[in-house]
Amino acid sequence: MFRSKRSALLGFFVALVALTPISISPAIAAAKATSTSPSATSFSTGTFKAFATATQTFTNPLAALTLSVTANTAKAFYIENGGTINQNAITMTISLTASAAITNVRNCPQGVLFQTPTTCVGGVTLTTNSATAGVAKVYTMSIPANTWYEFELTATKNSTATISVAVASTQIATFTQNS
Amino acid sequence: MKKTLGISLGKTATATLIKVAIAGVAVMGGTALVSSSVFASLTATATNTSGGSVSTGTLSLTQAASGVAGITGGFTTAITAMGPGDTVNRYINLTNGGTLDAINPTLSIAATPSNALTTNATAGIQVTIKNCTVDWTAAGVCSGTQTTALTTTAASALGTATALTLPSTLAGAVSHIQIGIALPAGTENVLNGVLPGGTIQGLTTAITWTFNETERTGTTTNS
Repeated sequence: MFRSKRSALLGFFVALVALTPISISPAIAAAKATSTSPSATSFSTGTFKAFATATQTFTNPLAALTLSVTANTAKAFYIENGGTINQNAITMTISLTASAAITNVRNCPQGVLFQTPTTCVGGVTLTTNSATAGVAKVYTMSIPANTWYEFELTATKNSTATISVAVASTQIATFTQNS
Repeated sequence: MKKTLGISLGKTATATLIKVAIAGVAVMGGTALVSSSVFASLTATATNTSGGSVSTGTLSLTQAASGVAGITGGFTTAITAMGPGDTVNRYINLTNGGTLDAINPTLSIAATPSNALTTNATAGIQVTIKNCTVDWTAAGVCSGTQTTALTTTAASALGTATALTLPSTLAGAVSHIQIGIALPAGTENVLNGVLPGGTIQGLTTAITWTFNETERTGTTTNS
């Protein structure tokens, strides 16, 4: 019947396994209690975006600002926080063509316009910053979401200025809230 | 002499054979009668006259937002406009309201939709849970004994139940927990208003929090 003793033996064991009653231990499950939050916690993150614009519009240009600068004449521009997160500082890099140098970079307080090249509306104090063309400079200033600052750039030569503004996650205002 | 089936038997032998046959039939009949009879046995019963009541305990876990004014946001109040480095603490009371002690408390979360907030282990949401033996103050201060129930863990790892270390999960115990929900400081840099690829900014998700506990180990009592 079987071709060899090995086959017979194998058949025997297969039959043995098939016919052996399988003992299944009854599962003993410990009781569990579950508590799920009554509703999901909606969680959203904000954005931190600062950019330079020629006019104060909060329109994100998604690019550096290019300005035509006349030698020794203040040229105005705006730094705006178009995000939803308050910022403590920005990093601005002003590059100039024609080997021009930056004479100064001035700004009025938040939300205040220049009245003259050297004064702010209402007589509030302006800030004068030294900067080097092509070199990134950190401007430490509070820029809440949806606020702006007016700046003025003065250069030594007629040139084209390219103004780039960056905000790092280390330059935003963080908070710890208990609520 | 009578000759039957080719076997010759004498009269005496024949009579003897008949007697044996009759006796055999009688025995078999008697046996049948006996085996078909009904036997009634005597029994005795002892029943307890009182007590013997058996009841089971209950295992119940509930959660509720802290009742302390100023920190009642719980899980139902939205968290908005978080940025890297921000932390929001929410306060929940976990109560074992059953009659059975519990063990192995765990937390798991489910997020919809799934995005970098709950999939990015480095830049995404981080959860830290601390326990206080009494209610937390509105300023987030524990005036009792403070312990850590869950060290800072990425939300991405909380999709599966994760063990919590609570001082007590005995029946009736209340755990006053502070759930710290944070975003790491991160290294994102936004240039000229352009968000970087894979940013953590401008995302939204909804997180469901599920706490579990298991009945304490079964006991055998001799009493």
